[in-house]
Amino acid sequence: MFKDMNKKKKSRAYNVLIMLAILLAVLTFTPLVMPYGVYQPGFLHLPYTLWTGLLVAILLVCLTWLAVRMHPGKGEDES
Amino acid sequence: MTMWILILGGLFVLALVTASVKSYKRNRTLDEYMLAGFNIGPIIGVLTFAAALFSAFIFMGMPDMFRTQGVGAWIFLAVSDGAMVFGIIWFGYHIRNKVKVAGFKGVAGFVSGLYGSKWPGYLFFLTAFLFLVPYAAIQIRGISIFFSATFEGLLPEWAWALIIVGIMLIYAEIGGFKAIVYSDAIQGTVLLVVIWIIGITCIRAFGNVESLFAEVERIKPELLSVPGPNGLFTAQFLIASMLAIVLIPVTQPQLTTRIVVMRNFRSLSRMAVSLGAFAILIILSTVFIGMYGAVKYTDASTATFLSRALLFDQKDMVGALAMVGLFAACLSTTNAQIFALGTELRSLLKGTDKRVLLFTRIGLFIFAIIALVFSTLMSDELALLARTSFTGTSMMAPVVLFAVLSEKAPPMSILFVSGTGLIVLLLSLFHVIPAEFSGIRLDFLLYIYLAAGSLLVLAVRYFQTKQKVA
Repeated sequence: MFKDMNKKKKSRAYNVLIMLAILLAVLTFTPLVMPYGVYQPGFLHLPYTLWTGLLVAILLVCLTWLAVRMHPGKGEDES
Repeated sequence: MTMWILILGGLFVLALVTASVKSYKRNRTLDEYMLAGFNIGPIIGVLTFAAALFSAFIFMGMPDMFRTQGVGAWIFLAVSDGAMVFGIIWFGYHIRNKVKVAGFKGVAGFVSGLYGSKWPGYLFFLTAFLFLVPYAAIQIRGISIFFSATFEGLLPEWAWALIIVGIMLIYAEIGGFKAIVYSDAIQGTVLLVVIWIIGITCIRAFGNVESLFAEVERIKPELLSVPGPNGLFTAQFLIASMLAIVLIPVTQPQLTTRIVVMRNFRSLSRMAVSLGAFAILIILSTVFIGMYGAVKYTDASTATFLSRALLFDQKDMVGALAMVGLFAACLSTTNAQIFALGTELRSLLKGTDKRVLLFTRIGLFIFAIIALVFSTLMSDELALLARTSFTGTSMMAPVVLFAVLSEKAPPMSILFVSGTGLIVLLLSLFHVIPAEFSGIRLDFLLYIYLAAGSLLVLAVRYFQTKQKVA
């Protein structure tokens, strides 16, 4: 029973992570990440779209790492 | 530099020969030759996936894209790759579960088996052929232009192309998929090291990152924001690019195969996360090389910029390492694509292992020759041509996804959706129909069409099942 509950929790968390990844991908195409013709404010000497884009890419990789940990099928086909 | 090229090139060839010999087994099965026995671990997995995906396109195409189109290239590739690695976890889990039941020889044969018809396999193979051959040709073209410009007068471009294809064929025919995977691993490591050494040199030429971008701001400030000086990076272009890139593991057979042959889901997961980190690291360095070129070689041709920035502005040993790295990069991507076509062909063939292997090897040879001929006809825009290849194969996404996700045999009507998408895209590439309608890009419209068509097929199936139950 506890195993089932754990799997359900994982499945829910995994679905939330999928939603977050889609939301983040959609946000990339808004002026929040890529305002036309604007390159200020910079961060670490990088122009605006570059550092926000870098942040989005890093967040997507972090979400992937979390998705792996929360994946309901984790450990299914170990050999 | 010549001495360094000979030393490092010799070491690289030695590594290739070792990989081929280690992979060669006299009585190996067809699966061992074509699919490395489904036993690839996470470290080799990430290097072979990265090498098959990036290579010459990242080494030459991306710095030039940053130089001429600006920082939007980061969204075009790095952010899209971030989304793609997330997709690998989702898609990888489902396809591996299906493979356990249905088996796997290649994507074309796999979908044919699941649909219970040869047509989905033929359609997938045709699309892979139409879009992988030009993609392989881009790599050959890129490297032959580069070598020809670097060693002016030594050999013509076609001779460089012939050398690359010759080496590729020899070690693929001897070592099979395992040799390709090992050589990818060597190439992936060389690529990461070389590109960062060059990236750091480019930053140092200006003192630091701040001065580099300050100089770009002074010379061409449009490069620092979207849509860039030529207006390429619009939201539409970038959304369509992200979709094409996210679908790469689904529809580019050389990469789908690399997902399937991973040892287990754990290895696949580790590979996907590492690939994301690898992509960020490698693309970040190309930003600095591109910005360096924007200041130093603002109006130079692609070949001049690349030969100067990657070779002649570097120390002798770094230039030689770049040369070997580029050669290796081109070799591994081309090989992955040509071998993938061989794998797809094999999955559609029937007969004894010996007969299938013979036809596959002949097929590999023919595909390589076609790519060689094509390479003399391509243009210089590596990154944009690679994107066309991704877009083309992505038209098959509904066919593959329905096969992987359906519990019963998927409906054949989805073939119509993908097939018409493919025909419209081809008509636009041959300029029979425009690439834009009322200001909306055709590839963007095609993705809407594929999504709507898939939903319609799903709805029809749902109501048909409901009627049967009633």
